Amino acid sequence: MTSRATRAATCVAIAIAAAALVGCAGASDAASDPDLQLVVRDGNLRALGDACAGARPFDDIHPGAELVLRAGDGADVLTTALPDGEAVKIDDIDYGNAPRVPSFCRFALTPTGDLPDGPLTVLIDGEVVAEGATVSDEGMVFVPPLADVTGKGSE
Amino acid sequence: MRLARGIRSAVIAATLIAALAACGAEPRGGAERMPGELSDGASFTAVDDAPAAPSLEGELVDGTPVDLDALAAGRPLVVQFAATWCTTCADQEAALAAVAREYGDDLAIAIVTGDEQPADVTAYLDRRGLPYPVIADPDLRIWRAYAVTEPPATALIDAQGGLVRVWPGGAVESTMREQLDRIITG
Repeated sequence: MTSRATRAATCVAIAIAAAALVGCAGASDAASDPDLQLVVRDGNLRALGDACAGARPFDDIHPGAELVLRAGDGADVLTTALPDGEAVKIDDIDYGNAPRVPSFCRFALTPTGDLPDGPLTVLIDGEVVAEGATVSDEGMVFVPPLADVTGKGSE
Repeated sequence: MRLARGIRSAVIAATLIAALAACGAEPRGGAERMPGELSDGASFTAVDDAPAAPSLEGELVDGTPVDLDALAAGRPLVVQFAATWCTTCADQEAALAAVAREYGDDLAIAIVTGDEQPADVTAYLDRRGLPYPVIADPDLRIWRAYAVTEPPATALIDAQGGLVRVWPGGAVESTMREQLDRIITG
């Protein structure tokens, strides 16, 4: 296999994985999904549906902390105090009777205006926790951000 | 004469302020909350092969230096890892209160808070009226020693300092009681 083919195959694999991730993180109940969600990809073991906060190394992301989403032009497009997070599943693996399974912590947010298409900086209590985050079609902002599989981000 | 009256007024005012300050200085998670005397006839069983519990060396919210020996004072110790913003932690206070009532002086309970702001902790303790010593762990040093990635979590240490269990997500009352009945035998 040529290096170009290898790279293409890798990109396809990453794209599929990212798509699966987006699908699973929002897999609870589409009808009740909030318009905007901060999804902390910490992979911590939790009971699905339990209240949660970001687990190490994202332990600054917790209820009551101030979240700011900042656009590329420096404008703050959302400033809010985080509510309780909710543990959501990250894959479709059957974990049997395990009470706690790998999960992400999802915070439901209420957008106060239009969100930009471009990359966002995510700040918690004034500290940058993610740069280059984008809002997915499902309204999810991931921390850490998903990899840019299009390559556009490096242009 | 006027000067003497002024001094007297100042002394009275100062006394009142001091008295009010003392009233507001209820012990909150500090040295006053350390365990008392063991009950007569208390006896405990060590758990075979339990590894030594990690250090609990730190300071209570009032600055009192503590360690595992001081916090346990010769009896089993339940350590609750919590934070003021953690709603699930608040939900578990009832379970802690239940085992505290049941086992009385045969069981010690301590909280390790990961909050960064001492004022948040004292306000929380005032609001919730928790009767346990509270170790301030803003750098999460003790949390990490016990592999706590997210509060709540509960650790049980036997009277010999062995780490019996750590429950990520916190222990429920029946589970704690089941383990405590094994190690509190007197």
